[in-house]
This record gives sequence, structure tokens and C-alpha cells, in this order.
Amino acid sequence: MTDDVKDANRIDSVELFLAHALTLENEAADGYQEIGDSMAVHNNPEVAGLFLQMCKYGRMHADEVRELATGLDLPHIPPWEYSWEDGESPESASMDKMHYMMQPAQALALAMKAERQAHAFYAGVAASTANPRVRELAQQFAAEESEHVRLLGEWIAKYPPADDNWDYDPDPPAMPE
Amino acid sequence: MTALAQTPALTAAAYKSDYRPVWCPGCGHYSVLSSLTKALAELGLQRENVAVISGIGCSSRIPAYTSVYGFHSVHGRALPVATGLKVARPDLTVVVAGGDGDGYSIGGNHFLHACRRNVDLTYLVMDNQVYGMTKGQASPTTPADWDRSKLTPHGTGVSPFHPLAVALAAGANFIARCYAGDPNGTARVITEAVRHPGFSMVQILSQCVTYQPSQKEWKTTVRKADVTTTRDAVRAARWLMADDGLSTGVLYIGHRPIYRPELQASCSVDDLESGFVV
Ligand SMILES: Cc1ncc(C[n+]2csc(CCOP(=O)(O)OP(=O)(O)O)c2C)c(N)n1
Ligand code: SF4
Ligand SMILES: [Mg+2]
Repeated sequence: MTDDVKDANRIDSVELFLAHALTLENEAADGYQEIGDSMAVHNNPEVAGLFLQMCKYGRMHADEVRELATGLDLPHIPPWEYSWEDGESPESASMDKMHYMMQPAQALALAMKAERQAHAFYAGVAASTANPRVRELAQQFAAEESEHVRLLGEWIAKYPPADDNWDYDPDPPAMPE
Repeated sequence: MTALAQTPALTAAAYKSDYRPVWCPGCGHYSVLSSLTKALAELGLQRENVAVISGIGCSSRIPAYTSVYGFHSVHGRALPVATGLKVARPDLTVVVAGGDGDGYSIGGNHFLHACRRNVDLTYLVMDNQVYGMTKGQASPTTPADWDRSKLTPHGTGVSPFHPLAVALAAGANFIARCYAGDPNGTARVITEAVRHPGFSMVQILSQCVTYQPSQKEWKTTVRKADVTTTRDAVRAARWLMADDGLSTGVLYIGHRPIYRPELQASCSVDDLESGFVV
């Protein structure tokens, strides 16, 4: 990213920062919910449970941001005009990495990646903003994301790594004869 | 065109229904649903003023997953159903959604004439170059050498259909290609397509992870088009024919007059009956 682009994406108002944080947390929760639901539909209840748990945490964080925004007039930003590095909200665990037979360790690794991206976003805002209150909030949120990464690490350690043949399906989606 | 509010009254989530999609985890159609609901929120449309009309296929299940009006119609017949709805209720925003099989095979002729008639519809084709729902047969956009189906073990040997070039030749008023791996970019294009009067054709590359797993590579091969939107059909045609089908963006915006039928009765029932008196 060039310095020009970085400057264009700099977040210097509390309202703009909280609008980003709220969307980040809402979209993270919505994404986890969608993945959890799809795993439940595809008879993978253990992984469904993990994603739905992540969704619950996401909703709690969104509520915290909403509370911080009480009394402020957050700007409306079209989805494609947020200052996300690659155009998409950073904490979205992308659906295209999902597999109906995935195992808990793989699911948690994807959640870990999403949390790390959220941390990088907040840390980036803290490093670039000119507004001390935005810096303070962004540092606080980045620290919270670091804590999530640590907790996820502990969670992952409780699960065995995925089996070598984790995607072996004795009755696979079949091409017709 | 339908009057659009300036600020969104509902969030994108409010346009999703409580039904859980049965799509395979990883399917691109999830992202299209998300883009569509974001676009509806951005357009600030009330749910009762929108209808999503589909045919049959995995992609065509999308109306059930939205909270607006919807009709999951017959295979290949989404466009005629939507056309009927729009001419009868021009006040509604009508979005048509479906797959490459639904839209270009069995529904292919309706596709040509929908472009030609230029009724104010937005057509989203979730193109995965395969019949996903019926377990992986070749569709009109399948590459000629795709040999993964037992029905075409040596590939189809047939040149793939070029939906956007066909749409241009047939008279579509707005032509764009998007990618399910870019949900916010797709939401933007859907928003523009709905706002543009006339028939808007939006091809969305939407991976079928089950029967076309190599489409995961689209993550690296799909890119933004290296041209800006043109209003010149000849230029658009030249560019579309030279493109490999993996460039995204709004490629053409036309200004043909849209088809709006006269809804005022031009004669009374009595007048009509009098014509049949023997
Ligand atoms: C009249 C009729 N012919 C054939 C079928 C079988 N059929 C159901 S869906 C489908 C193809 C769907 O492919 P596509 O539109 O590309 O959707 P996808 O599942 O790939 O999203 C076919 C041939 C049918 N339902 N009705
Ligand atoms: S079969 Fe393909 S198109 Fe259908 S839901 Fe699965 S991944 Fe999507
Ligand atoms: Mg298809």
C-alpha cells in the first residue's frame, strides 16, 4: 500500500472509527452464524457449535461498540466504501474456505485467522490516526483482539489436529452414472 | 424506475429470511445472497416493494432466503414470470436470479428476448459453469475440455456460450460481471444495476465447490477489468470478445428506451363484448 492510499484510508474521527468497528463486529458475527448454520444443515454439529459460539462472542462485541456509540451520530457508509484493506470486513471468516467435513481444529484455525485480521485492522488505525481518542479506542480494541487470539490458541490446543483423510466421505456428492 | 430513498432504513440482515440455506459450505451463492441483501439495504427499499423471482437450481433457491416477496418458478422461466410481474406492477423493484443452466440452456430464448424487450428488471446470473443441483452436468458456459462429468467424459467439445456478448447483441441496457469472492464489490454493482433503468444483466462468477472445485482458483485469477465503463456498444463488443471471461466491472451502460406497457384501459369491457356480438 502506498502512503497516499494509507492516508486516504486514515480514520480520524471517533464516529467513523466506531462505524467501522460496529460493521466489523456485526459482519464477523453474521459470517460465523452463516457458517455455523451451514455446518448444522450438513450434519457437522461439532463444528457448527464452535462457529455459533464465535457468533455469540461477535454479537457481544457488537453490543459493546454500540454502547460506546450511544449519543453519537455514526455516519452511513456504503459497504464498498469502508476503509478495509482488501474491500471486505477484516474479521470475516471466508465461506470459501469451508468444507462440510472440516474438523474443529481447522474451523478454529480459520477463526484465528479472522481474529488476527481484526487485530491488524485496529492496530493499523491506532498507528495511523491523528486523533488521540481514536488511537486510544483502537489500541483498546486491538488489545481485545490479541486476547481473543490467545484464547483461541488455548482452545485449539484442546483439539487434535485434523486427520490426514479428514475429507474422506464414503458416500460423496456423486456425479450421476 | 422505482423511486429510491437516500438513506437505508433497514440493515442487510433484515432482508434475510429465517430459513437456513442448504447450499454446500463454501458455495459462492452464499456471498451472492449477502451482496443482494446489502444492495437492497443500500437502496433503502421497503421489503414489500421488492420481489425476487427465480427458476430452478441451487442458485434459484435464493428467494426463499430473502424476506422480500419471491417466486421460485419453473426451470428456465424466471424471466417471463418476472416480466409479467413488472409490467403489471411497475412500482415494484423486480430482481431475477438464477443459474447458468436455468438462464442460458432451458431459459436461453427468454434471456434473448428479455434483453431485447428492455423491461426494467435486474437479472443476476450466478454462473458456476455447471448444473450444480442435478449433480454436475455441463452447462452452456462450461469450458469445452471439462471432462469431470460422466456424461461428457471427453469434455463437451462445444464452445462455451458468451453471456455478456449475447446480452449486448440482444439489447441489454446495463452489462456487468462480478465475482462472489468480492461481496462488497458485487453489492455495489447490484445497487447500480437496480438503479439503472431497463434490463440490467449481471453475471456473477459464483463457485460450485462440489462439482467445479477448480473454481477456487478464481480467488487468484479473477481481476478488475482494465477498462472503464463504455456507452459505446461497438467498443463494448470488441472488448467483450477479447476478454477471457474473468474480468469484472460494469462494462457497458446503454440508453435504449425501456418497455413500459400502457396500463390504462384503452377500451371498456362493453366495447370488447360488442366486437363479439353476432
Ligand atoms: C423442466 C425441467 N428440466 C430439468 C430439470 C432439472 N434441473 C433442475 S436444476 C437444473 C440445472 C440447474 O443449473 P443452474 O441453473 O446452473 O443452477 P446451479 O444449481 O448450478 O446453481 C436442471 C437441469 C427441471 N427441474 N425441470
Ligand atoms: S452443488 Fe454446487 S452450486 Fe449447488 S449448493 Fe453445492 S456448491 Fe453450490
Ligand atoms: Mg450453474
